[in-house]
This record gives sequence, structure tokens and C-alpha cells, in this order.
Amino acid sequence: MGRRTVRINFSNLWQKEGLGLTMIGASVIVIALTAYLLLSFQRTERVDQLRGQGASIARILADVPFADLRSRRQDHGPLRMLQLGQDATLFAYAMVVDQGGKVLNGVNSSGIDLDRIPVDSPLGSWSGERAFRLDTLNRDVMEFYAPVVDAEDLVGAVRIGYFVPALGFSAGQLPLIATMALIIFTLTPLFYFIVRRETRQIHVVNEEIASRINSGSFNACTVEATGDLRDFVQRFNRFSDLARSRIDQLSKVNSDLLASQKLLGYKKTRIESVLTAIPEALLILAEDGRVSFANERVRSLLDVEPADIINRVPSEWCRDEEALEFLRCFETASTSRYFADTVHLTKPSAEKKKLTIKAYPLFAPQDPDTIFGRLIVVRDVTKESLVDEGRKNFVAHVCHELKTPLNTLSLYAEALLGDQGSDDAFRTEAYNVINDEVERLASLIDNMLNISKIEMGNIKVEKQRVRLADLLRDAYTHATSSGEAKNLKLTLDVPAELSPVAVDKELLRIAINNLLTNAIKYTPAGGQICLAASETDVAIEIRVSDTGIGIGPEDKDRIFEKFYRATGAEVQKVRGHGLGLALVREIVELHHGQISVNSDHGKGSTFLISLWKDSALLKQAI
Amino acid sequence: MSRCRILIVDDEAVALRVLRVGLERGGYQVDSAANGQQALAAILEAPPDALITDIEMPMMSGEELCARLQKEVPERQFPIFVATSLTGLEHRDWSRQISNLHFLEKPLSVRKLLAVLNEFFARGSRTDKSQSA
Repeated sequence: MGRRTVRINFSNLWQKEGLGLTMIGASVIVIALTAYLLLSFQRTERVDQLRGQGASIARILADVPFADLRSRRQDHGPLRMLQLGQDATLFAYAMVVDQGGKVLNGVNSSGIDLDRIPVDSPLGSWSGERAFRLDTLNRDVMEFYAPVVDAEDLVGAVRIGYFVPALGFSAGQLPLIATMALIIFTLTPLFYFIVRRETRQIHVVNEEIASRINSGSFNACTVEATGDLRDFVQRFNRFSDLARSRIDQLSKVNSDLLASQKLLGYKKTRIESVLTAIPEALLILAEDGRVSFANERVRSLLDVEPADIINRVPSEWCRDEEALEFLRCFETASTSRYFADTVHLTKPSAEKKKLTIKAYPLFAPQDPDTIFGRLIVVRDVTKESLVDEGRKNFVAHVCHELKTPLNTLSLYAEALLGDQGSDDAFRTEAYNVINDEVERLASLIDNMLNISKIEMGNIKVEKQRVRLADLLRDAYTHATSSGEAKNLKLTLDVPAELSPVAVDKELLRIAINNLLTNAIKYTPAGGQICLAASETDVAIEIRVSDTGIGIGPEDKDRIFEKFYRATGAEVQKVRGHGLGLALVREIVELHHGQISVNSDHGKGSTFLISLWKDSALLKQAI
Repeated sequence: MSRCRILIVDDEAVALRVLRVGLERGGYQVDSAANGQQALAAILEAPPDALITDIEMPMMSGEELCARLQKEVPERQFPIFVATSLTGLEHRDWSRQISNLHFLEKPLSVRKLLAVLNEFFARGSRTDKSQSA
């Protein structure tokens, strides 16, 4: 069986029973103090008593005849009688000495050698009292002495010594002290229980308040109390109510503030993200022209770091001369333009960016006549100006392409109406030219309409699974007559079976026809043209190759552009409007296919259309 | 009086042919060029009495031809007639620098062209006469 260890947690014990322990300690101290005082008082009483007794006895003995005093009778000499009548615990000695201090007779308690009692020399002629310490016994002694006169002569002195009573108690004093301790020990618990009863309510209230503090609760304290404590509890509850309502108010104010702060933060973030996200560079200039805000686009459009230009005027950071000339006028507060200003400029950098800078006055909300700054908006209009230029070029091209055949028609019509109309040969020539020009116009308009529809997204691609071999054979047949008319050899190299692909039959036919027409147009008589098709794992490839004039390297990248015609003299001899290949590319891209050209200038060209099979398209999508 | 020599520049061979025939029937001597480059070479060799040119042409456009003439033949006396698909307004910027330049709007008419040329040369000969008188 294991030993049980009892551990006392003094800290807890003190916390719980501190008052009781204090009272026990205090009562022990009180008992000890009281006992000490009592014993001390008794000792003082005894010393006083001995002092009176000693002086009296010394004087009485001094009156005893000197001869009797000197007598050394053992049984009933006055000194012996005196010793017997004294308290043996306190009596030290009694002796008669001559004038020289020599002991003539004496009695003493055990352990005292009379001859070694110190003598004050000379002894006075008067009675008196003195105290000294007896080193041999280590005790204090009170001595009383009186002169002895015999026949009117001073012959010696009587000396009586008593031990000074020590502080301590004897067995006889025990009942008194025990009684006193009993009374005190009886009163202490009584007093303790009275105090405990009185403080229990305080303790309960204290516990209740502590539990509310710990739980953060403001509920009223429901402890039953009496007297002053009841008032305390009531006031505490009122104070608690006040604190709770005050905290509720503050919490509400705080949550309102928090909500406002979050809302403001959200709005600020939203505005900043809007300002950052918009494609224009934005600057806000204060009245003195210093930048108070700049968004990220400033970096790319004005070549400055947004953070670096804050609080600086344009003349300190703007590197572009034209822009600076425009912005500098806002550095002076006297500038009071109430309207928006705009400047167009081209950056001198390699990209030749075209920018517009607009300045809008910012009016004070309360006073629309006061301008407190300016909003500067910098836009990159490079693309717009390119589009604008492209549009102008397109209109010029269309006009030219339409008016050129019209011009020829008009000239021939005029000639036919005149004298030349009667010339048969001229008439035949005119009819042929008119026929060619009308075809050219029709083809131009068809191509333009088709391109326009595709670019505008107005054309609906109706894909269906078609037998590509049949489609190519039809296109070949269609082109044969024009080819043969020009003495060209056309061949078809298409396998009987090709995997079916989903294409818009009509659009693809236009693309193949355009390639074949081009091949016929740009291949001199006697040349060869081949329409071929083959199949790989991922695509069906359609090739239109010729032995024509070919395409120069400088034109190769541009021949698919609208209205672009190669610059070579051989090309220019042939009528064309530069839309055929552009349309082919649009159509192939509508089918997610690819077109490329391989050409040897002067020897011929091969156009390759790759149409991806469905499985390949699916893989690409994944 | 020798016939006035007209240089016609156009990349459209058919139109060039009709114009040539029409002007020759109108009494002019006609030379032709298929683009600006050919025309410039011909002019430097022998300046015509009038130049009729298209604008959109390969190798060298009509606009470039005029600019080159202005620069390389500053003493040029003969007029330039530019046949354009657009109106004269579209060419205002570059044509301002060229002296003695006139626009002819397409489609052209041989009859009208002859009238313009006849009028021009008649006025020119009157001026010459008055100057010689």
C-alpha cells in the first residue's frame, strides 16, 4: 500500500482562512504579551517588596548588639534566624563586616562565598542599597547595608543580599495564565464567527461581482443583503446599468463608425480601381499645378512613375515638350479657363504614339465659380487614328476600284456613240471590253459585299459535312473553261475519298474559285495549274499551285491585305482589285483553318489551305 | 503649226487605248506611259505640251510623279491634268504645292477632255500672240 502524501496548499488555505489564521495568531500574541506583562508586573512588585524588606531588616540588624552579631552560634544567632525566615529562593546572604570590610560573621545560600562578595570601600557610615552582578552564579544581587555602632563607635556594617527575581513563571502561576489564555481563546472564535457572519455577505457580493467581471456581464447583482451592503449592491447595480447603457451607446456609435469606415474604404478602393483600370492616364492638378493624383497609365503614356510626380508641377517632370507646353499653363493660379482644353500630339519615341490631352476644370462643389484644380485626361489615340486612316484609305480604294471600270465603260460608250461606233472592229473590241469590265465590277462588288458581311459578322456560317472531293471537282470544272481559253493546262489531283469535314460549302467554293481565278490570271499562256488535296492525321490540305509570275518576297507578307496588289509590273498588267485573297483568308479563318503561300518569284506559287479535322479541333480546344 | 504632244499616264491599258485614239482623232499627238516612273523618264527626255495622269498607279503614283516634276523640272511650262476617282478636295493638301495643276474627275469623257485641252491651248496661243504683238 502506497504512502499517502498530504499536501497542504498554504496559498489556498491562507486565501480561504486568512482571517481565522490571523485571529489565531493575534490571540497567541495577545496571550503571550499579557503573560509577559503579568510576569513583569509581578517581578517589579517582588523587587519593590524585597527593597523595603531588605532596608528594614538591615536597619533592625544594625540595632542588634555588636557582640551578638559577631557571635558565631550556629543555631540561633540573629543572622541564622534571619536566614531561616527568608524566602530561600531569593535570599543570598547576610553578614557582619568590620570597618575594613572583613567578614566577621555571616550566613549564605549555597554556592556563595561570602569572602568573595565585592565590597564598596569604604562602606558608608549610612545605611544604603546597591546592586551588582554575582559573576560566579551569573545572577544580579541587591544588597542592603547599615552601619553597626557599638558604644557610639562605628565598628562595622551589616550587609544583606537578595537575588533579584528573574522574569519567568512558576508552576503556581500556571492556573492564572491558563485561565487567561482560555478566556482569550474562547473569545477569539466568538469574535471570529461574528466577523465571518458579517463579512459573508460581502464575500458573496464580491464573488458575484467577480463572476460578472469574468463573464463581461452587466446583469444586476441579485444578492440579498442587509444594511449598508444592501445600499452598496443597489448603487452598484445602478452604476452597472449606467455603464451598460453608456457602453451600448458607444458600441452603436463605434459600429456605425466602423460601417462608415468600411463603406468609405470600399468606395475609395472602388474609385481607385476604376481610376486605375480605365485605359486613359489621369492626373489631378491642384490650383498651383502640383499633381495630387496620378493613375498607373501615366507610366506608359507619359513615361513617368506615378509616385514620383506627386506634389510636383509639370515643368519638374514632364519630358514631352508639346505636353509640357500645354500643362505648364495650369501652374499659374491666374489661369482661369472655365472650359475643357485639348491638345493632340505625337510622341517623339519610336512608337510614334498619338496622344490627346484634355484638361477639365474641377469646380468646387459649393461654389461653381471657383476652380480648385484640373482633371487631365491623356488618351492613346494611336489605334483610332490608324483606324481613321485605314477608313480613309478604304474609301479611296473603293472609289478607285469602282471608278476605274466605270471610267473604261464610259470612255468606250462615248466612243461607240461617236464616229468610232461605225467601225466594226472597234465595236467588237468595245463589246469585249464592256463585258470584261462589267464582270470585273460584279466580281469586285461580290467580293466587297462578302468581305464586308464577314467582317461585320453578318454572314452566318452554315457548316455541314461535305464531300470535299466533289466540291473541289466542281471548282476545277468551273475554272477549266477560263483556263483553256488562256491556253493553260489545268490538272486535278484529288483522291476519290477524303474524310468528310464540316465546312460552309458556298464560302469554301468562293475561296477555291478565287485561288483558281488568281492562278489563271497570273499564269502566262502555256503554264500549268494544279488543284490538289491530301489528308494528314490532323488536317485536310488543299493546294492551288501554278507556274505563274510568282510573288516577290516584299509582297509575300501583304498579299492577304485588303486592296493590296503586288507592285511588280507583271502583276499590274493584270486587272485586279486586291480583294480576292483577302476574302480567301477571311473564309479560311471562319473555318478555323490556315492559309499560307509558298512562292518562287518568276516561277510560280502554291497556296495551301489547311482545314483541321474535327478530332484535331477537339484536341486544340482541350 | 505642229500638233500638240500629250503624254497620258495610266495603268489601265484599255482606258489608255481609248483615250489615245480619242485624242489622236482630236488632232493631238499622244504618247503613253503605264506608270509614274515611265512618265518621268519620258518627260525628262522630252517634255510634252500637256500631261494627263491617273493617281493610283503601281511603281510611282500620280501624286509622286507631280511632286518629282515640281522638284526636278522647276521650269516646267506644260500643264498637268490629274484624273481622280475622288474630288479635288481630297487632294488639296499635296496639290497645293504643285503649280499649273488641274483635276479631271473620273469617269473621263474624251469629248470633255478635248474641250479642256482645246480651250487650254487656244488660250495659250492667244497669250503667245498677245505677247509677241
